[in-house]
Amino acid sequence: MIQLENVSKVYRTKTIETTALNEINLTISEGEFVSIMGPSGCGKSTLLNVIGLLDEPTEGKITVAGESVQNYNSKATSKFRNQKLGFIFQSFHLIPDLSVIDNVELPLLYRNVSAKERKELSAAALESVGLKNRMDHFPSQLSGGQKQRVAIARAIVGNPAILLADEPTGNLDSHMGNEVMDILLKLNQEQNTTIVMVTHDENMAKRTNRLLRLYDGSQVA
Amino acid sequence: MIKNYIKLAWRVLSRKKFFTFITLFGISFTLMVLMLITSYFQAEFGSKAPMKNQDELVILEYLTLQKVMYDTIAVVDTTFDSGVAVYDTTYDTKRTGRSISTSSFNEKLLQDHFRDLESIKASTIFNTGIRHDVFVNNSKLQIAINHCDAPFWDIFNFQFIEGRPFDASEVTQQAQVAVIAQKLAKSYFGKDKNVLGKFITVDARQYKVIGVVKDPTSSPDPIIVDMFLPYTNAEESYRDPYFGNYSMALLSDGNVEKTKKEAISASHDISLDLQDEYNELILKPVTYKELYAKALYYDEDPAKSLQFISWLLIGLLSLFILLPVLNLINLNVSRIMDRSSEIGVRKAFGATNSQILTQFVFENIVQTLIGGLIGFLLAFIAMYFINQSKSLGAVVLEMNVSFFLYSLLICLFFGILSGLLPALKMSKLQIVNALKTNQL
Amino acid sequence: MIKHIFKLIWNKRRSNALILIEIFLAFLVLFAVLSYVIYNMRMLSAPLGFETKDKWMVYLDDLSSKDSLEVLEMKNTLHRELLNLDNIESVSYTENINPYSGNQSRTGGDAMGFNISSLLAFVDSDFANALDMNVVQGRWFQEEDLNSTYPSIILNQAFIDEYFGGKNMIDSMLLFRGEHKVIGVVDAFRYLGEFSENQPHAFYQVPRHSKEANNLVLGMAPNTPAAYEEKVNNLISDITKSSSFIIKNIDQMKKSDSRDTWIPLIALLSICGFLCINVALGLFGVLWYNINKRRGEIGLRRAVGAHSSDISKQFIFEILILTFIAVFLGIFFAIQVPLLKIGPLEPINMYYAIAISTGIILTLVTLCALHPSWQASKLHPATALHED
Repeated sequence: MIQLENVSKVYRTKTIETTALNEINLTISEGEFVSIMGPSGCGKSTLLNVIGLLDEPTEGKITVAGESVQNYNSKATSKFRNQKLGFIFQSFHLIPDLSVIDNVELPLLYRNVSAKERKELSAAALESVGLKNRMDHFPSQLSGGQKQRVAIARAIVGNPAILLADEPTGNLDSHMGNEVMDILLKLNQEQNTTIVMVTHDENMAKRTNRLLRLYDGSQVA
Repeated sequence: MIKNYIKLAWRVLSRKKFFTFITLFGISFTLMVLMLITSYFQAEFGSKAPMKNQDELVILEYLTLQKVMYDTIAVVDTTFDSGVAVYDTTYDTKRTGRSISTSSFNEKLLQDHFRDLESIKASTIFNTGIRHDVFVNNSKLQIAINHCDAPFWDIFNFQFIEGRPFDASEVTQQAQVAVIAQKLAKSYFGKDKNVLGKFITVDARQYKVIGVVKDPTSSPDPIIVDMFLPYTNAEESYRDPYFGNYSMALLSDGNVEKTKKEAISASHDISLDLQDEYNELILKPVTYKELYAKALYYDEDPAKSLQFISWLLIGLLSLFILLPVLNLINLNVSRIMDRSSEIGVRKAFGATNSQILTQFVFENIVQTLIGGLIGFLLAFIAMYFINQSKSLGAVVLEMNVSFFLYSLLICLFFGILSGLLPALKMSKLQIVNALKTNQL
Repeated sequence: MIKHIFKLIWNKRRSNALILIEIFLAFLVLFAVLSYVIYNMRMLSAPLGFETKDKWMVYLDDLSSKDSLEVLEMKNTLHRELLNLDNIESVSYTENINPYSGNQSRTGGDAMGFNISSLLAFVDSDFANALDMNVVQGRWFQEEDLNSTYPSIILNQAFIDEYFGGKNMIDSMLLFRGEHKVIGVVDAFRYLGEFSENQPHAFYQVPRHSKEANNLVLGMAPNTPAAYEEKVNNLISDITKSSSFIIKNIDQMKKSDSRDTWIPLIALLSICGFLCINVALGLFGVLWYNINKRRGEIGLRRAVGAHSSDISKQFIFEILILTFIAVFLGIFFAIQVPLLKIGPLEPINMYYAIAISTGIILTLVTLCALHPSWQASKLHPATALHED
């Protein structure tokens, strides 16, 4: 499903060169739930961004969902992200000016789905995270765990093949974190969604299929 | 999609009240002033009665006679010829003084020389200089009179509320008939409705009212008078072969420049023998717009007056638009950070650059339209007060469909102009950077 | 410190450039509008040279076709009878150059050896008295002057200043439209309006009974009611056997004439004032926002020992330096106008305009910067750092 060959990412400023990723080779197959761990600054997020086409690698070849994506122009990347990928962030990144349901239907907006269908799909996605009764609230009226569940609903509403989660439980207490984790696991098992998750939490990582450890931009396990 | 944009724009506006106030204040006031200016230009240059023909008009307003005196000055110069001083006298003729007389025309001069130009459809002579004091019910009424001929009514297409204009035979017969403006009908006859057939006494003569015209809403002298009389009723006060009280308006068949040239060449046929103290005759036919510009900024060449005024106006207007636009751009740009995370999320979920661009320009347009609506109301109120106070003289500002369309156009232009740069900047934002800020 | 601030400005040159352009344009608009306003205000404050209150004008019919003797008798009777009225203090006959007539007569010549160009007026011996003009040197015309060897001429101060360097010209001979003896100087005669230029002006004497002098200036007793006009009207109508003459109040003519200048002036000033408010609010918003965005920086500065006043000083300096650059740029362009003598205005107006515009812009910007900077300085270091 996801294949990285010799992927490197180097940040250059005038004076310093920082290697964020160093020749990573990685294969993730369909239906896998992979977690990535490592100390701060080891390149976890960069790796996730590269897989998610939010950032371009300096070198190497990436294949996501069977498509070689690193030569895509910006329009094609946008379309690809929209169709194939779903994102969950540590700080939720809900748009404060939009209600819960409007936040969830966001990916569908860029897909020419009719308003009626958008509403149905979003309601279904919210139902699957247990927040259907909150769909007309605004993000500021929700707790952290609820916000993250809305973010998950948003990530899955377009029915993506791959879900990329950047420390989804990082800002939550353990109880809420477990709730979110339960939803992700359920998605993985029932929908066969491939999930890549960056996390700091050993307990969460243990619940996944495979654990990947990064250190200084290199894969150590 | 559009519904979503509107919803979001509205939320953004109501969340940041202070910024919304600043933004709307700038937009609405700017648009109000632009609307007032548009309305003023429409009043003065819009195609409406009685100035529907304004673009085809060539006006002969003044005639200039010039007397140039030449003096011969002897200059004694010493030159050396083979070492011997030789006194040599050379003569130098130069202009030493000139005397200029400028005035409106003698009626006969206009009739004889300019009636039959090739490129004109009609011509009229008129004399707007005369005022008369009339006492009605113990209060003084000053009546401005235009003495004109019958074609005047073809060239200036007045709207008649009742009655009719005077015709050519009435003019030749020196009929004592008058067409009066609505405002005079009101002030002279009071509430009396049927003024046709009634008489107005001016300078011990009784004139029968045969028509009442609607008051024009623009400012040209010949049309904003109170009363129109056949010119044969006027006494030509100056007994001068060139100068008098008359001006002429020529209705060109489309090519005003050609008409101007013809008028100038016709003026060359005017003989100057009668008065040998003048040796140069200058005629400067002007278009309606040039006439207008000339009153604001005088240049010997009326075309240059118009040019100067146009550039000044364009310059001031663009500065006036540019400043609030820049202001809005500055505000919008500094608020980008506020929305950066939103942009990041949208992009992560597949929004393209152009979609982001569209969204933010659209938001800005919504904002401008709201500002425009407030501006429209402000302009409406301002117009009422301006018209009430008569501070623009005869000019009456009004709203109509084309004014509304112009205003809408101004709003859209303003919205796009002020939204494009910040939106471009936003749409180019790198997703990774946009998501880094923990502002949501 | 200044160098440090310059560095900050330079590093944010893109967003600062927009602010700079905005201030620069605001300066140019202010400069243009103020030049025009100052020009008019200077004209307004200069002496008009005559009184308009309780002064009336009468425009008689054209007399040129009438019999000379008839005109002489009629005019003498009119003069006498008008003076007999209780409320009329002085009566003067003039030709068509008189206050607010809009008429101009101008001539030029170099009979003195240099070019002289001047406005002209043809008036009688009562003109100065009727209009309360200020004769600053010599005297006004008297009836006897009409019989003297050399015809007399009276000049205004601008004429003397422009062509004779302010010298005393009384009793000198002036070659201008023939040989004339200068007998008096008036301070000014800006008969074209309160906002008109003070140009060289020469007065020539005409006899009262001249056919061309068909206008009258009436000096009325103070506070003569407007209704008195009907009485004057009847008298003139009886004597001239005509009703087509016109009576006008000079003060009213002055008001309506001045209104034509006041209206665009006020419109321009209010638009300009609005632009200033708009720019100020915008700047305030931008500064407020930027300072909020830089909470982390503020916290850090406080943490390393900057006093709260250092913080506010820094922000005010930042915007002031930016403003100075914009204003210098503005002055550079604005000053070209008087230096290259473009446009119709005298340079002095524009220098004033530059000075005042600079003052206004600097004041506005400082005012806009004060509140946000003060807010920034009040920020508690701990909270400021926490937010980042």
